[in-house]
Amino acid sequence: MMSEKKLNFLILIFLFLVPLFSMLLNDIYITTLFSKIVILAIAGIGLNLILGYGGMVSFGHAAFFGLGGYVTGILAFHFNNYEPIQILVFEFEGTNQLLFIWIFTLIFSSILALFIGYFSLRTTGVYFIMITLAFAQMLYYFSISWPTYGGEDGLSLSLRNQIPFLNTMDPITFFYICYVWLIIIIILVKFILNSPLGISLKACKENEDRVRSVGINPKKVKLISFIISGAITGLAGSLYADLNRFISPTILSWQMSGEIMILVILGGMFRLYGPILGAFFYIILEQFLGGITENWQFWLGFIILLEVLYAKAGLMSFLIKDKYDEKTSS
Amino acid sequence: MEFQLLIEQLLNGLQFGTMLFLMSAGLTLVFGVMGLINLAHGSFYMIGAFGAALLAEITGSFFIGLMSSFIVAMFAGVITEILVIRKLYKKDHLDQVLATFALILIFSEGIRWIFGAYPLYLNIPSELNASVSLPLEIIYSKYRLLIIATGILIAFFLYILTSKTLLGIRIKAGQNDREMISVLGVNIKTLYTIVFALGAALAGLSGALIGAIQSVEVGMGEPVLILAFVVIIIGGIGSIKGAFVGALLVGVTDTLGRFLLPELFKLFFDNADANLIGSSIASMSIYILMAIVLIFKPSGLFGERSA
Amino acid sequence: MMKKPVLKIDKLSKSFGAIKANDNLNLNLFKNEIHALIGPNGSGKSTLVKQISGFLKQDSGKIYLEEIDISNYSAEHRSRMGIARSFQISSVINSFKVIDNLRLSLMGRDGGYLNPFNNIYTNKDYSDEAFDLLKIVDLTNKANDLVSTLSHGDKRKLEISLALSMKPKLLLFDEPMAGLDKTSSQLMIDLFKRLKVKVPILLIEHDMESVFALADRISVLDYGSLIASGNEKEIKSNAKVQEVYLGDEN
Repeated sequence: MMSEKKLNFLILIFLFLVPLFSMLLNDIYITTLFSKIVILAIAGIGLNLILGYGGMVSFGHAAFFGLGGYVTGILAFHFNNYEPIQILVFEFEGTNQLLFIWIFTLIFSSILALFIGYFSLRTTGVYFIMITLAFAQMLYYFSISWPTYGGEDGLSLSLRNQIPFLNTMDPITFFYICYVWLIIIIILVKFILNSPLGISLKACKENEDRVRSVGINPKKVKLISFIISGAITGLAGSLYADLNRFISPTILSWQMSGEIMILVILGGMFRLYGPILGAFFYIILEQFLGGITENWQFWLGFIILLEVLYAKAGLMSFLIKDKYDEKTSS
Repeated sequence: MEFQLLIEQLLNGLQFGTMLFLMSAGLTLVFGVMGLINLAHGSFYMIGAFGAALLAEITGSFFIGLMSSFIVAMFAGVITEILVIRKLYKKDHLDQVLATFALILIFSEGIRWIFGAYPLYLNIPSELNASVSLPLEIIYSKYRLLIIATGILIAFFLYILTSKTLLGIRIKAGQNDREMISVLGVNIKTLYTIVFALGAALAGLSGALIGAIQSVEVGMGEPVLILAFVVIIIGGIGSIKGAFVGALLVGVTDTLGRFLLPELFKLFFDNADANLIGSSIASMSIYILMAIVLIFKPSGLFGERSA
Repeated sequence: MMKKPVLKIDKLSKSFGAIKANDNLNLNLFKNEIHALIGPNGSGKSTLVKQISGFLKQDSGKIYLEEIDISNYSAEHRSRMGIARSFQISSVINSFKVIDNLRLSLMGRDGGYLNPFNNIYTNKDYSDEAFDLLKIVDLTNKANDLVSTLSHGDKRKLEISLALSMKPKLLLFDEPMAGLDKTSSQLMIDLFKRLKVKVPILLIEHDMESVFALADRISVLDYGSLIASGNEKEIKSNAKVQEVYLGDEN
């Protein structure tokens, strides 16, 4: 039992030391596995911003995760085959430079989030859940039926994309790239939660009438938050594509949306670090159960079910002592 | 020739639509009456198909297989409702989504455990596996006509059930006012179990009907589940009429879209591009349809209250 | 020279299906006054408040704030222009601390609520102003309490301070005394008397005692129409009013 601050700190230290453990155990796969955990945690933090703090149950965040992956994959694909990307009459060169790729990813996933959010936020409740799902499904089926980038089979990248002076193919280097992004995203979201936007978002979750009567437009607050959330999850998708050097429609599927949502809940909503713990347990569980039984998803199902029925507050609250009052300041 | 092809596609759309209706009816009732989002509804579709394949294999009778799909899925529905679903009625949508997502994992892996990873086949008896001649020189599959007929029959039955019988009145009362129904002295727990099991049974039946055309395998329920959600969102959650209209709309849009859109784009692009663009857009057409409906009618075509 | 009204309602109508909630209403509110609106349940008082504050769109008619036609402005726009309201059922952010509710409204008033960076919790100007506002309603000792732990009366007080925080041009209070005990009611009455010299108040209230203690002018609504308007004496002696309203009470 400890304070939330201390636990958060421990989580970051532990993650920082992962490559060291990996070297000590002489198993580099651990580092790669934790890269995946960190990336999914980033996606989860993105979703948690609107799900936990804003009460918007998006069941379509795979759209952003997948778009990030495809932007990354497509830019690299065109870089490798020297064919420019054609959009109507415009032509763009591909690139394998991560700094550019990340910027493009952020721009495109923000635009997508603006589009999806603008229409989805006209609805609420179960309709919101379903319309976000529908938008993600649109992209999913589009990616399957559009053969240029592999269609159903997906697209392999021969090498990871690059950053000057760094060898991204080295698992440890790549892990730290993801780690740095995690830190940046945590700081960013922490700022947001304490900002005018963040307090408005938290207020919108509870009472939109009150928010409007103090002169705040809840639609704008929710839309801007949705865009930030989508951009963060898109970035995670970009890192995921580079981690696996492979993209396929799976990263746009509704199961992907479900997975991101589950790890947020598993770790504990309304907590900034919750998705990190959630991603950790989700992946470790997958590895662990997958190691002992072929039907590991069966047991995963049970664990999630028990979690939802009996331990709503998430894993974080098992580990820290302050009785959590969900929302106040962060 | 083109005309016959068009009619055939239209019938395919109708068949797809009626099957979607069987899936959606339970989903929309369960949401309307109990306020529950049930992602595991597709699992009953799968369970029905597996039940049918197994019993058809054992008894050698396709029709016993079909009937047992209904019964097996109904039993699965009753047990699931009592063990898990009951605990979810009072929880929020997010919990319902997660818990029923977990149920999908349990059901899918459970079935894979029992039956293995290979698909089963449910063979249509030869007397149905034939074509019939319809007027206007249209030739169409007997079995698919049977599906359409079954779907319409069940739609009619559900319409009578929900609008003319005591059970229907109770369901309606439950939809409008959950407090009132318990005041009426109706055993609400039993009512909920009946509604849930009925929905599961219908999903199971449609799984068996379609399993015979396609194959019976793990994961067959989820794509249909998502479509069923699109249907009830378009139709308006809670409305049987909405589910019927929505199902036909989705069925016909999807089928005709795949058929007509590539042709349409051939007017503007060369053949290869037209096929590519046409089929890509066709694959998204129902989601586009849903988005358009929601933008103009945020609670669906026949939806009364926003949920 | 005619005094110019702060709020002017011109032939406002609103129907729900066949029911006319507001029928061709004319009403105004001047500086330095408390104008009370009374009427039996369902007479259309709350519908009127919702239309003035922009939560409900009128079918026809106009609403003017200091001669500006605000009939088509959104609720949040009207709030920023200085129409502050309280809700019939206390509407505050229960999951926030008392002071954070005020921070929210101060920030909403000043705009810039989409800013994702500046820390709102450490903004000293807002903290100071929030405390000043809490002082007015005597809630400073509960500034750091969670709103969900407050009593009904304290929530009412917080709601009033939220309305004041908007630097309002007028206050719309929808049954602010509902559910309050005698002491709290008296506190509100004293507070409203002090407030009205700065900000005029349109008061909707069921409690006749408070209405007569406070109001400079009283308007009576019945079935969506205005049936009388005047001071306490005129209202009490009005035959129509006695018939539809006061008569029922006894």
